[in-house]
Amino acid sequence: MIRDPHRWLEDPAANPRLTELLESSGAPLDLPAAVNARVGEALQQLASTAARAGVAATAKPSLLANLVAKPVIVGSIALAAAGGGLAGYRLMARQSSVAESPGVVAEVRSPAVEQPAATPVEPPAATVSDLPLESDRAVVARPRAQAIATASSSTLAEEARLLESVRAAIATDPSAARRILTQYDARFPRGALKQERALLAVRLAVAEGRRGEAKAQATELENAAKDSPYAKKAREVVDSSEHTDGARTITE
Amino acid sequence: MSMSAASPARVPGHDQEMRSGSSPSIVELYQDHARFVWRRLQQMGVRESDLEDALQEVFVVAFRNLATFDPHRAKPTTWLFGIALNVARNLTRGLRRSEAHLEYTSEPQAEARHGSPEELLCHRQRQELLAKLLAALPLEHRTTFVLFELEGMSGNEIAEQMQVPVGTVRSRLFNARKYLETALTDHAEAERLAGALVP
Repeated sequence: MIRDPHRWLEDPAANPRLTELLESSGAPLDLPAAVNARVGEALQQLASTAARAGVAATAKPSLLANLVAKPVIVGSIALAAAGGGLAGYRLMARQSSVAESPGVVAEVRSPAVEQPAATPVEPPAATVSDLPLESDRAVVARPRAQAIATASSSTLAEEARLLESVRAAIATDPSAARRILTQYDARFPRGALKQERALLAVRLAVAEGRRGEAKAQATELENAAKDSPYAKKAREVVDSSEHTDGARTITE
Repeated sequence: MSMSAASPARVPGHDQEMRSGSSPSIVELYQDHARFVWRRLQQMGVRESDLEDALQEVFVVAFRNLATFDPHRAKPTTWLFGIALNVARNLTRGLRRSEAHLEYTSEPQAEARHGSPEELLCHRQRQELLAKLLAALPLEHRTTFVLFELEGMSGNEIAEQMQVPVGTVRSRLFNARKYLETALTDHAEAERLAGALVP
């Protein structure tokens, strides 16, 4: 068995100038409590906005849990089609802080959808001409992150709160919901929560009886982020509105 | 940084998830692993001014992709590390070498350790030089080097976290060391030549 080499800091034979440099590095800074609280709050907001929008994202349950919780497998999702969605979403979100990863499928709790195995995704390799990279073997999916947006964690929480107001107003006062949505667009033109916003826009269009617009927006979201739970939920909302309208027509 | 000897395959959050028998929510993942991600982002060279955004970015990406994470197949730290690596890559890509970062120790601590202004200046110059040298390395090489040399992790631990064979870790470490030795020699030579130009 091959052993690790000696660490330079513990190796008397190491170049003393290099060990001197390493000694200057000190220890990493601890996570400040204020930052911890801000980011934690932003994530809490994001999670609750998603939950209220009917999009529950959780880690993949175990096989046993799958069998117990999901006796009926409705369908599977083709991972091969995911690549096109990424480019579309990037186009839509432009500077949005996150991007869907190819080969990444988020779970929608209802209806039950079978979770395909995550496809290994290798991040793009940085290169230095004199240091060729080895080809890595990724075992777990590594979602790609797009260039970071300027949104701070407090801004993210604000975004989530504004969208929550939209969601709450849809059922009671759709015109107020539309006003808040317009405010959101003006305030966060490059917001990090584009998918959440798109789903609410679909719900709002349905609530206002503009089914064609809802359908177009759902399709746009699907094209942009095919495997996103938000895109699936948007399609569900449009489909169920069509069924409702169909039933009403038969009754009439 | 070494794992618990009694349970080398587990991390605290992982144990908690196994005990509860449920999949972790993003809030639980954050509570358990925010400090880990924060530390790793620094070791990957993310500047202090970008750390908060980077931390948030890692967990927003994790939230969006939570369904791909199987806690029974991989540790949360391994999964989050992969995301952090991509976030750090995007942040550090195109960063000028003069902006390179390895400023771990905050100023008050540094001042306390280095009494005189001259000593402090020298300390800062070393930090800057190390940051510049490391910035020239590909992110994977830099991270491997920092985790091994500064964080004290073993080759096996790094391999597990980065999801690569241990041979890859050793190869990256070897290449990173080789590069740093050469770069430092070049730097010393450049300094010598510059010094010779002074009348």
